[in-house]
Amino acid sequence: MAEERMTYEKAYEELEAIMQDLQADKISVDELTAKVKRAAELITFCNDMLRSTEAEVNKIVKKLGL
Amino acid sequence: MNSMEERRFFTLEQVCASIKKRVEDATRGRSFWVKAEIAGINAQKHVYLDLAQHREGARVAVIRGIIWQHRMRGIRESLGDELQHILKEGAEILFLATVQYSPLYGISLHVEEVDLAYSLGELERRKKATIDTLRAEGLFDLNRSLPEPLVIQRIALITSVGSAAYADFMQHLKANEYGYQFHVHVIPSSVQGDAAPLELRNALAKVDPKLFDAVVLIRGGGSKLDLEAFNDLDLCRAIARMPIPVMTGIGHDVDVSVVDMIAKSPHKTPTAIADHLIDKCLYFETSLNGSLVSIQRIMADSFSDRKERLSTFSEMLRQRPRSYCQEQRGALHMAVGQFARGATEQLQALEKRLAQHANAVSVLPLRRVKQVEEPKLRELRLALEQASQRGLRTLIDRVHGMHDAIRLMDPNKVMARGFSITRKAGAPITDPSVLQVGDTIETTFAQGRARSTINTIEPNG
Repeated sequence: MAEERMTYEKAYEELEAIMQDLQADKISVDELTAKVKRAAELITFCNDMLRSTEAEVNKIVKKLGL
Repeated sequence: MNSMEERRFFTLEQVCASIKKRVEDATRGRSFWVKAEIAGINAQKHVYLDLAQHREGARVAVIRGIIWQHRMRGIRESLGDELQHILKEGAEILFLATVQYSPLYGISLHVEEVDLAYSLGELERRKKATIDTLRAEGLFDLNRSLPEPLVIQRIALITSVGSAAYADFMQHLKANEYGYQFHVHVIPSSVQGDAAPLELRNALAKVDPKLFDAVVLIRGGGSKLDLEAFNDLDLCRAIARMPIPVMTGIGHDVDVSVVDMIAKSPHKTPTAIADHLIDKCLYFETSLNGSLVSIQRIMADSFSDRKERLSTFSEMLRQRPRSYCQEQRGALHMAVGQFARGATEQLQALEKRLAQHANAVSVLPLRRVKQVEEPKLRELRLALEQASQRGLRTLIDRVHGMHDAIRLMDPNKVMARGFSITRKAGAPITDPSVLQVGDTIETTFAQGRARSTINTIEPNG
């Protein structure tokens, strides 16, 4: 399955939707495991993305000699 | 050598004494009114003046003027507040003076009075005329309205090479403590004297505006008198039309030339321009660094904001599904409890009904058997008994009848009525097709039997 390239924005959007559903108890028990797993994946993805982007930005800024 | 000794000569002192005497003889200490421009002024204890006259842009007369301190008091009194406007560089004044000659200081005019009514000098008037023309032609603000580049590094420098101004400017640029690099292309031109305006215009014409950020026009110390070149109308036009900013370092503390007025960036000295250029670089770099710092801060804020949201989600994800499951479990427990209670009640009700049914089952059939079925059964048995008795009799009768019929069918009786049985080899014959002519057959009669031979055979037909 050729999955579309995940971006931070897309991941975050999906995550937000899941969290909203979760808060509103909109998720059935049947889906709960899958959704929680997906949310955890998304959080990991977003965290990794942030960390690598931040490191990259810091590297670039450092290169500018600040 | 001999010729030198023979030649008659004067010592310098003798010459000067002679000049002095002739001057004094000619003027006889009289004072007279003189009209002149103040091309330069230097006020110390006494006031020293460069007095000049111009004709058609060219200087035609120059002489030193002195206002002694004791004369200055009277002049200050008579000119009052106007003094600063009258005794200034570029102003043309009408004054009463004596001609003095000193062997040490040369010839000079000693000013005794200054005419208040005579306000503007010829220089000043021409300057004003130049300004008026530039304004009328729409040129006055042309160069000034150009935007100044954020950083000026490619410089077309117009100056007299080898002058102190040139050296100062270059040295100052090079020695900047920040290490900024400036690319200076020098276009030599004289900056004073009658030829200066034309040379400066030619130099400006050589500047390719595409290759430079700005034109820098500087002039060293020199006499204030020579500032006049920078009031030249054609030079001013060329500067105004310059499509890149023109920076000037030609003026003095006191006076401002028209070129200074129309140039994008006028400065007092060449070093002031250099400072300005370096400051621009520094300002730009500082603001660049500032931008970087704010980029970093904004990025950091954004990152921490996002991280915080993610960790909130993480926390929620740790808590929410668990509590949700607990809620669900609680609900389930409650449902189970309710169900159990309900089920028990229902079961009990069912049992009760079942018991009722069981009771009914155990009682009703007996009663029914006793009350309904038994009499029916008795009736049936009776009916059966009667019916079977009747049937039996009928059967007995019929059996009796059949017995009679059977008795009638006894072969002996049948034969007694005249029938006989024909046999061939002991087997009774019913169909003569089994017989052939000449066969022997046996006929049994009621009272004996006979044997015969067949002559003809005729089947029934």
